Amino acid sequence: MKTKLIVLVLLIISATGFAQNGEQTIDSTFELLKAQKNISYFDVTGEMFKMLSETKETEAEFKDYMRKLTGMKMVRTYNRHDNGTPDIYKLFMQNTNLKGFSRLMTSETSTRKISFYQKKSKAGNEYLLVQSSAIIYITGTIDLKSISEFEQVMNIAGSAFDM
Amino acid sequence: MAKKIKIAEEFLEGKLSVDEIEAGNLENSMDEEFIDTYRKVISKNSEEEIPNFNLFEKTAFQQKKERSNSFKRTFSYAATVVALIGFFSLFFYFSTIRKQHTQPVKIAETQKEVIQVLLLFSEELNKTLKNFDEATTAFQPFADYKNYSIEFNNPIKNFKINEL
Repeated sequence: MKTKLIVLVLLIISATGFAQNGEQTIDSTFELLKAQKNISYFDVTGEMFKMLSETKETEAEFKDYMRKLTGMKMVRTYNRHDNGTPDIYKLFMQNTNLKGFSRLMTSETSTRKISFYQKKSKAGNEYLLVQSSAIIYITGTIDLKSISEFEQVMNIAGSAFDM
Repeated sequence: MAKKIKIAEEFLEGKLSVDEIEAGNLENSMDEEFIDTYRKVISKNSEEEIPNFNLFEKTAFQQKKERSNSFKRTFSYAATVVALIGFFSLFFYFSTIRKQHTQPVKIAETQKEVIQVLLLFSEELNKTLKNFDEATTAFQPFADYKNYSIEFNNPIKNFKINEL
């Protein structure tokens, strides 16, 4: 019982410490990550989402979805077998201050680790997916349910994009 | 100038001779040239054909030259302006066309990337949620299963030994 308690305490300490280890903002960590080797970076601003929501020849469901988004950033690793490719999960967690974010869930296997974070505010919500191969940061008035339902949105609107 | 015109009028009307004009103050070389030419013409035989003499030939030539120069200047200026306008129009036309062609392509590319990112997020989220569901079901206490009715395919369920 005593051993279990110690393990539990250690786990909690490591989890909380891991989550709030860094001092940097999400944006500056993204800047740090995109400077690494074998990293592709993708950034979409609110203006672009506005433009996407006004694009003709797209389905209404997709336009509604775009209207709810205000920002999106993603870093992704490629050529993972190269030794120079960084462990972006570790780098992100070590450098980013995730104060205000609540961790929704973490899934870990021997090959991959994935965590979801959420921050709710009046201005809008922020969602983070932190993975060994990709980190996605989404902001907007969208909710988590809508994100999980995006596949369905694409099933409706997908034919318009040849996807 | 008015004096000159008056002298010329009087000469043409015959009130004034060349000598009288010459006796007066000659103001410039043009007057001298005119008098010389006139003397040459009248000194020749009167039956001889008088060459075509134009009193204002030089002035007309100068004016023509000035007009020509002025026209050339104006034309070159206008041509430069037209060429510049044409050049800028073509530049804006082609840049607009290029922009019109590239912008939808860029938007379409961004749209596709956005979709892929959202799909990745959505898929990972759903996958993790599914794992979460499976994990909660697997670790559900056995007591929760008490309401489940398990029906086995029992071949002797309705078997009645007395009917044999």
